[in-house]
Parts: sequence; C-alpha cells; structure tokens
Amino acid sequence: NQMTTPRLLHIYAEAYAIKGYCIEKISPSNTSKYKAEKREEQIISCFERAGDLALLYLQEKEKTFSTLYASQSVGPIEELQENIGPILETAIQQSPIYYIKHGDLEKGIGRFRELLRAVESRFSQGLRLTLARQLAEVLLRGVCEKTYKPPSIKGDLVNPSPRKYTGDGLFVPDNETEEALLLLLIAEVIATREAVLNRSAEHKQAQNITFQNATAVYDLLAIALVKRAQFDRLSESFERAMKFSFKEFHIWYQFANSLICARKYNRALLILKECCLLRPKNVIVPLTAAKLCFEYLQKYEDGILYAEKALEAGDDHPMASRAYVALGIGYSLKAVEMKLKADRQTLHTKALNAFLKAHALDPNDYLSLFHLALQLAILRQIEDAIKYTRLALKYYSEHIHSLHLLVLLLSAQKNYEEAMQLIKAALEEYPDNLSLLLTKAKLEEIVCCPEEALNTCKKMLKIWKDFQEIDSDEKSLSLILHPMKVSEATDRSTFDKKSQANLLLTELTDRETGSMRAESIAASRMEKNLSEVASSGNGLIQSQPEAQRTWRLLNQIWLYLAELYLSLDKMEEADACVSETANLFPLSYQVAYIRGRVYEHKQKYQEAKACYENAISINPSHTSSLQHLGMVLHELDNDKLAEKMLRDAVNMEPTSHQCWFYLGLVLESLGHSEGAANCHATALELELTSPVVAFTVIPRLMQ
Amino acid sequence: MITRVIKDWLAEYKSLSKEELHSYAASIRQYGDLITSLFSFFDESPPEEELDPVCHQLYEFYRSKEHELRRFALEFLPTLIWLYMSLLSRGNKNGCGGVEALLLGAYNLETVDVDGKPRIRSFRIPSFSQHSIYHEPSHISSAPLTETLLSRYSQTEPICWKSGPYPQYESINGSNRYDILALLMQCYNSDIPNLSTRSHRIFCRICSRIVTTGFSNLKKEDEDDDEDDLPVMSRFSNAMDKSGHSGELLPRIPVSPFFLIEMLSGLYFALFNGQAGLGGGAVDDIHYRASYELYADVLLVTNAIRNSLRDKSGGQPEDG
Repeated sequence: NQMTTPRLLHIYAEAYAIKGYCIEKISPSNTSKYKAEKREEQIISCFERAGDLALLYLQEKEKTFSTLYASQSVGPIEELQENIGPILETAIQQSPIYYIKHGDLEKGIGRFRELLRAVESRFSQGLRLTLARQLAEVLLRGVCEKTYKPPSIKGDLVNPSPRKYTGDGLFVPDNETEEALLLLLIAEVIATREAVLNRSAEHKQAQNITFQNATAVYDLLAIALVKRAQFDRLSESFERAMKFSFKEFHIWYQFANSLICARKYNRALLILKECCLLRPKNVIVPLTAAKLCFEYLQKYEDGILYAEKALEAGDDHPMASRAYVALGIGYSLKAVEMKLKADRQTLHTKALNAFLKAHALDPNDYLSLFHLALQLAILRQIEDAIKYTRLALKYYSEHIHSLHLLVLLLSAQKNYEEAMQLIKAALEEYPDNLSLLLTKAKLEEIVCCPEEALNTCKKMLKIWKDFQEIDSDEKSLSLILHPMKVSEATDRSTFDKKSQANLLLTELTDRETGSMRAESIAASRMEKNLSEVASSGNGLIQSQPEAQRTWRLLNQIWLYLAELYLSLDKMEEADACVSETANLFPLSYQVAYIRGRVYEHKQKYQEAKACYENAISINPSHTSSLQHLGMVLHELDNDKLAEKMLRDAVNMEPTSHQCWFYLGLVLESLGHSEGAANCHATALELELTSPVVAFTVIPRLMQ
Repeated sequence: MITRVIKDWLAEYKSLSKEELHSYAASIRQYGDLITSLFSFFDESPPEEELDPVCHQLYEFYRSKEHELRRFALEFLPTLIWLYMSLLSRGNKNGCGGVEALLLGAYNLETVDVDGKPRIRSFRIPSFSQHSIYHEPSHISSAPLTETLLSRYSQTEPICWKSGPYPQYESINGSNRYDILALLMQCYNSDIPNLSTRSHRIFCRICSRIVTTGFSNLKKEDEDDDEDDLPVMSRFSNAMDKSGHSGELLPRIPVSPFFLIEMLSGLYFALFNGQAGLGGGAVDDIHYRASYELYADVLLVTNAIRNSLRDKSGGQPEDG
C-alpha cells in the first residue's frame, strides 16, 4: 500500500505506536513462556514500524517544507515547526531500549543504528541528539574491544523505510571508540546549537533541559577522550560549551582540568580563578591553581595567595596538610627571588614552619616530609634533613626526589661511598632519569675517575636520542600518512613520556642558575627570540616548541660534557662540545659562559672576560658567570671590579663556598685582611656541608 | 593458606595430556570451590613459597592457547595487582617475586600479537566535516556561520590515533611499574564483559582498597563544598579495617594517573553491568584520591561519571 502523503504517514505511525502501548498495557493472560515472547515480539514490531513511519513522515515533511520555502510562500512555519509529539517520540526511543532491557544488546544496538542512519530533517534534531547520546552510552558502558561488531551498511528492505545516508567515502566506524566518538561529535554539534541562550525566567525550564542534555554529552566525551589522552580535542569541545555554561561550576571546572591536561596553563589558571568564585568553599580548585602557579607559571605571589585560600577551610580538613605544603613551596620559591638577606631569611623560616605544620597534620604523608627535609637541607641542617628524608622514604620507598635528595645529603656529609651506592640503586629504579644521571656523573668526577663520568655522559646522550625519537617518530609518521598536514594523536604512554621530558628539562636548565629566578625565565625567553632571529635558516629546530624542548635537553648534556673535558684538561674535546652547543643555541648565556670557561682555561683572560660579560648581560642572575668573571678580573689585576662581581655572586647564591673563597682571595689582594679572613671562614664552614650539586636542583613539586 | 583444592588444582593441571587440555579448559571456569579458595588465598598475603607455584601455574594459563584458560587467569588479575601493590608498599620486595614475575610475563605477552609481532592498536578520530553513516555535514549546519562552526570544517580527514608498540621489559622498576600495571588493567578491561560477576565485584572492591589504604579521612573533602550535594555514597570502610596491628595506618599505596584512568574505565563498565553500588563507591574513592593528588586528568573522568549519575536525564545503572 502506498502511504505517501505526510499526513497519512503520521496517522499510520501513531496508530502503530498506540497499538504497541496497548499490547504493553494488557497484562499477559497466562504464564506461558511462548505467549510472553510472542507478545514482546509484537510490541517491538509495532514500535519499530511506528518509528520507521515517523522518520519517513519527518523526511517527507522536510521535503514539503523545502518546496514551500523555495516557492516563497512561507506561510505557517509555526505549524510546521512543531514536533512529532510525545507518543511517537517515546515509541521511537522505546524499541532499542526494549531489546537491551531484555538482554539482547546486539539487537538493541542494531536498532539504534537503523534509527540514526535515517537521513535527518530539521524536525528530528532533538530526537537524534537523544538517540546518538544513548547509543554512545551503550557503546561506552556495555561494549568492549572483544565484543564489538561494526555496523554493516547493507540496508534491509522492509517497506516503507526512511531514506538512509548512502554514498561513496562514507565514514564507517570499525571499532567501538570510533563509533562512540562519531556519535558524540554529532550529539555535541546538535546540543551546542540547541542550547537556549536566553537566561530570562520564562526560558528557565527549556534552558535547564537543554543544558542537562548537553552536559550529558560532554560527560561522555570526557570519559571517552581522556581514556585516549586526547586532551587538546577535549579542551576545544569544552571551549564550545562555555557559551551556554554561564555560572555552571561543573562545566567550568571540567574546562579548567582539560586545559591543564592540554598544557595550556595560563588559560587554565584564568578559568580556575572563575571556578574559585563559583564555589568559594572548594579546596581543590585553589590548590590546583597554586600548583600551576608554582610548577609552570612561576607566579609565586599568586600561588601563595591561592594556598592561603585553600587553608581557609580549617586545619581539620583532609586537604589541610597538602595546602600547607603548597604554602611552604610558595614561600621557599619566593625566598630565592629576594634580593635582601633578611627577606630571604624570613621567607625560609616561614616555609619551614609551613612544612612542619603540614607534617604535624598528616604524619604519614611522604610529601610533607620530603619538603621539610629539602628545606632543612637548603638551610644546611644536614643531620635533621637526613632524618626526615629517610622517613619520607619509609612511606614511599621509590619517591625519586627523596632518593635524589638523600644522595645529595650524603655527599654533603662527604659520605661518597654510600651516596654512590644509593644513586646506583636509584638508577636501577629510574634508569632514564637525566637529572639523576647528571648528579651521578658529578659524583663520579669527584669520587672515582672522570672516565666513569664520561661513560655516564654517553649513556645520557643515548637516552636523549630515545627522547628525541618519540618526537620525530610521530612527526615523520604522520607526514607520510598525511603529507598535506601534520596531524598527530598520541596515546597515553607517549603523553606521559612527554610530560616527563618537560619536567626533566626544567630540572636540568635550572641546574646552572640554581633556581627559577624571574631573571632566568626572562633570559630564556629572550634567548629563544634571539635564536629564532639568528638561526632563521635552522628553522626545523626552532619552529616547533616540542622540538625546542628536546634540543635544549641535548644542549644541557653538551654543556656538562664540555665542563667535564675542561676538568680533564682535554681542550680539543671541550672545544668540540662547545661548538655543538653553539650550533644549537648560538645566543644562549650558557654557551657564552662555557666559551668563557674554555678561554679561561687557556689563560686567555681578555676573551674570557668578554664571554662572561655577554652571559651576564643576557642573564644577570647567572651566578657561575659572575663568579668566574670575578676570578678572571682578579687575574687581570682588576681587583676592585672583581670584588664587586663576587659580592653580587655571594648575594645571589649565599651558600656557594667557591664564591666566598674567591671573594676572600680578592679581598686579600686588596689588603682587607680581616674581611678576607671572614670570607675564608665562611667558605670553609659552607664547604663542610656542601653537596656535589646544589640542593636546589631538586624541584619543588606537589608530587 | 594453601588449601586442598588448590593443591589438587596444581597437581591436576600438570598431569593433563594434550587431548584432555581442551575439555579441561572448557570447564575450569565453573569450578566454584577452586575460584573461591584462590581468591581467599590471595587475600591473605600468602608466604612466598606458597605463592610462587600458584603464580607460576596462573602464568602457564595466561600464555596458554586455550582462551578459557587465559580468561581464568585474567579473572584474578585485579587481585594479583592489589596483592603486588600492597606487598610493595609495605616494603616487602622479596615476598612479591612470584607475583611480579607473573605480572611482568603477562605484560610482555600482551605487547605482542599471537605471531610475535609488536602489537599496535589504532583507530581514527572521526572528523565532523567528513560524511559518515550517521550524518552529512551540510545538513546539520543550518546554524548561522560562526567561527566555531568554521573550525569544525578546517579538518577534512580523520586523525589517526595509534598506541604501541610497547617496549618489552626485563624487570619492573620505579619508572615502568605503572605503565605495566596500567596496560594489564587495559587487558582486563578489554575482556571484561566475558568475565564473571564475581570477578567484577572483587575488582570494584580492590579499586577502593588500592586508593584508600593508609588514609583515614579523605572523604570529607567535598561534602562541604558541593552545593548541590547528594548524600555521599562512599563508604570508606576499608581504610579503617586495614590498619596494622599497632593501630597505625598502613603505608599508602602510590598510584599514577594513567593507572587510575584505566581502573576507571573498568569500573565504568562494572557500574552499569550489575555493580552499581560497589562500582559507584569505588569511583567516589578514586575521586577523593585524585582530588588529594590533584590529578587533573583523573578528575575529568570522575567528575564526568559522578555528574552523569547525579543527573537523571542520562541512562542509569539499572538500565543495563
């Protein structure tokens, strides 16, 4: 029978739906299993017919609408806009759920697919949103890799059925993730568009409903995308959600989290600030903000404020201990920036107190113990620091930073044997950690023969190569697959490796300067710009930040290697290393510094002086350059200026015994014997507690 | 303690001939007694000399060509991971040698295909502007042209996502431990619909235990700041009853975000397939731990799951 007019189709569809409801309402007359099955089949087939006819009706209606629209006789749009009514809508949604409720997941999914494959019309949007979301839910919650069956495009020929999407080059999913993501993509587009933006009271209800629909889609997206570490995509989606999420804490918070994962820390901080306003009592939000300030953004003042905000919840809050840790980290990081000794001391004491408080509140937490120990180490209270580090390791025996700290503490006690054993054990656990390896090389340089240190360096270069392969692998691969553009999507373990490499880089670059001073950060930014200008020919290295990062790592290794060769008196090799780094980052202060070292070693003091001055003009807080400049000036008999340089260095790095020692020498030759004696005494005292590498190489992290 | 049933099981498998193996495999997952005693055996942190042979046999099962044998071993994977992590956190490195070997062996098996090639999984991330069996870009976009809309079109081809090949490891150390455990969790998840309800239940409990051991008061933290708060479902019972003899808390078990996310995807399945209560509790527990550790990625997932459970418009656990 030909049912072509939309009106007839509508009536037939409703008739089938109502028939289905009626059968459902009549309770089965007897308990026969056969009868019961028969009855269910009937219900389902009614609902399915109703669904097919309804979709066909909508498609026909769309056609009519278009013709009307084309012939400019747009009359009763209002009438045409109306929905298909609750009866049909429920009937359509019922049929797949009916299957699933009776345990037939596969048929349910099949029915969902049939409904969704029907070509949409402007009247079926809301329905499609629900169906797409529901199928995505089913796929994410009930289907796994091993049980998934891809959809088949061969349509059945039940008449009359709605038109379906066909054609060449259709995207056909072939695993559960692809299908779920495709559905969510469609649902997101519809949901974002349907969202009611009018916030007046009369639209309140409509707005609530669309908002909830959209939120449900976004929740599913988060679940699906985080599992695959697709954070960039997720943050883009949340960004689109912002337009209808005014004052909705959940979406804002999710947006902030997705930005953090996508490493867009500056924006994340702004969003977190807003979240703080929406939920002033939440403790996790300000703590996360504080963490970002300390670890990525170097906004120590702001971080301290956020930590204080988190502490407003009171000391008996479970997060109070961690909030005190954050506060202490803030004080301690800020202390390094201070120019005046008194300010520094106050902040160091404040930091120590915060860590003590954190430890008292949660005695089992390794993190507060570790930070307490690190703070004590910086204050050169070696005995106590060792005690607390060991305690931290008792609670978390593989905490890499505690292990590293203990190594340094042992070396400060000149207990090199034990330090060596410990760092070897630590490297068993973390064989790829460049920071640990650098410390090991330094130890080897002092304890046994420098040849060992060279071996360690070789190992580091090899590890660096692996790091670099992670980056380049991906790029070359995607270039082959899609030569037109670079599209890459990494999995979780690559993502983790990259984060790790990032952390390592901050750890390594701060080795030289000893801290994350504002000047160093400014310097490295300036350097980056300078190098970009200087080496525009060398575009590959400079253009991509990811590649930049890995090359900087390599740079650090070359620099250390150059120093090592210098101490071995192997000038040729040292020169080679310097030219390697100079190729990578020609205008870096570190390169200028190492050049100076080479000249100094060759006793070409004028040239050395020029190099150090270059380094300092790029980064005024580079203590090593200041120190060596002082030494060179001393050699050049310019003791007045040498004194000035060394005093600056001592002020910048008050625990460096070398600086104090050379200051003593300079003062002596200037004839200030009393001052010289004092300096030598300080140097001696500091030397007794000095580790092979400054304690500040250990990063102050919340983990 | 090693029970009679387990001893018989150890002996029986060794005596099987090749022909018997298949029928043995087909029936092994029905042996309720055996499964019960194995679960309670692992639960008691058995001494090394008892643990080793059991682990060895389970590894034999795991690498067997019989799917059912492998599945039998898979059922115990969460329990074994828990046992391993809790032994480690108590500083008992030597006592867990057998479990470690089993986990490492299983991991190395999972990194390659049956024919020994490194396993690479990949899928395409669909792009909106390509036609699919479910949509046609021009249809949906009857909306006014905006920047966000344009950005959807900027991408014409689906992006390829690929995972693996995973490195083979000779030993487990601090830097690869969580990658290994997370991948094993993934294997459990990828076969989870075929595993027993009992295994699901125990999996939920174990997730809670891993994240709560050593803590006594984590749950409080967002009771007081969730304005649209529901009664907090979490029962932080395990944190209390697992304290040591002296009344002191046990050492906490370190976790990693990757590992927690894999646990969550397993829990998400369990939650909607019969374990609404236990699964929900475990999700809450992980949420509190992730808040404590400030893991943004884990919080994305826990927030999403918890919100969708709260919001009645979506599908509910009872829907199956």
